[in-house]
Amino acid sequence: MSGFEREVLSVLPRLKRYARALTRDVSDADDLVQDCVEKAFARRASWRGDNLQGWMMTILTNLNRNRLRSRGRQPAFVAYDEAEDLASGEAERDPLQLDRLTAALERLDADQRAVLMLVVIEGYRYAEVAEMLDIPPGTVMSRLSRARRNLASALQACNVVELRR
Amino acid sequence: MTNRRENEITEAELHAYVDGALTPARHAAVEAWLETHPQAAKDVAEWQAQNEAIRAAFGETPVAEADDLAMVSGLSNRRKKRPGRLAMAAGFALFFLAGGGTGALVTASLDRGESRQTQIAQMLPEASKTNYLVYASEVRHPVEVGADEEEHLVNWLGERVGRKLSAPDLTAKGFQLVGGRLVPFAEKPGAMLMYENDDGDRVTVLIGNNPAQEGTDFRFDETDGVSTFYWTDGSFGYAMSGAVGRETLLGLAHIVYVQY
Repeated sequence: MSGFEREVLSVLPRLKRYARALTRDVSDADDLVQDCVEKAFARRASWRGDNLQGWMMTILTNLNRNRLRSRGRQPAFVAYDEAEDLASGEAERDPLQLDRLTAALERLDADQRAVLMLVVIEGYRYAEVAEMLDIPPGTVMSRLSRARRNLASALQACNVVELRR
Repeated sequence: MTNRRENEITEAELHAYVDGALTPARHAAVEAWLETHPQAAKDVAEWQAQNEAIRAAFGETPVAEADDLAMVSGLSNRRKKRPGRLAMAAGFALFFLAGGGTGALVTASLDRGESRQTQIAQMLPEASKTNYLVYASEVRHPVEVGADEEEHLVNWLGERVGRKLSAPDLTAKGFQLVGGRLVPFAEKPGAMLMYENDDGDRVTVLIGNNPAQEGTDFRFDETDGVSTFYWTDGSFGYAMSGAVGRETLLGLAHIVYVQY
């Protein structure tokens, strides 16, 4: 096992946790991590030799965005009254949607969710997130702000659904 | 308005306040400001609650899992047909908000369990090797509880794993106990003990549950320079890994085998 493989192995638990915070279930998350590992090996030459974890988190964030796009289910935040109908329809199809937080997080767009999870779960500073995602600090703040406000509305919308059951 | 800079709180600062990213002075300033700004205070409270909920759902301590090594070495057969070995706490912790829907998830995890139980002979060496590779290379925190608290260590791990545990004495072979930690194995708590010799060579012992009580005799596996001996005995599986060569490890594993 090479030194690089060893290093990848050591950051894997953190990557998995982040992936699980971004996706709907553990299986999706592990697929994402597997893709990320493969991409990291393929791009090994472009790694500058420091902060492997941050580098792989960036790859994983991008892969997740592409994954949702290619599935055509990039979740956009929907307005409050639309959300109500949408949620009640889904609740009947999928019992897992009963979970308010998961359901609400599913409606955030991938970029907002990524910033929120990098800050809240992975504990990165705002400046680090800006660097990892190659976006200006102001964009980090606006995504974080939108993520939190949208999440609040979505949780409220889910509440309404639950009360009606 | 004596000092505009001090009194003005931006939304960015409110987020930084929620995320604990402010200096103590600014933190206090925001706290005071919120007392006279109820709408902002309501937002902040909401965001704090979100943070807590998100952490409860996804913020578990990252730990090495049985399939880590397969993922890195490109040996993973998990894709598309994955048996779903580790439907971990992340998924289940989500229910703190809902209360409903648990039935469906519990069923799903039981279904997965069946396919996993037939693989313990494969999982044991894989998990042991991963634990060794991840933790034995840690310089500062290779273990959660050190050998200086050996009694506490074995009592604690024994209780979590569900059997009386002791740390086998390997000093005859020149290995001292470093300590141990709780590790996941087959979706349940497992125990890992670590030993080290004067040359700094480390070996790890894994004790995990074996719910189907599958029998596996004493076996050897060597991959990527890591040797592993493993076996099962009733409700438990055992594995010992190290990069110390087969003969040395055999000597150590034999002692562990006899003591367990």
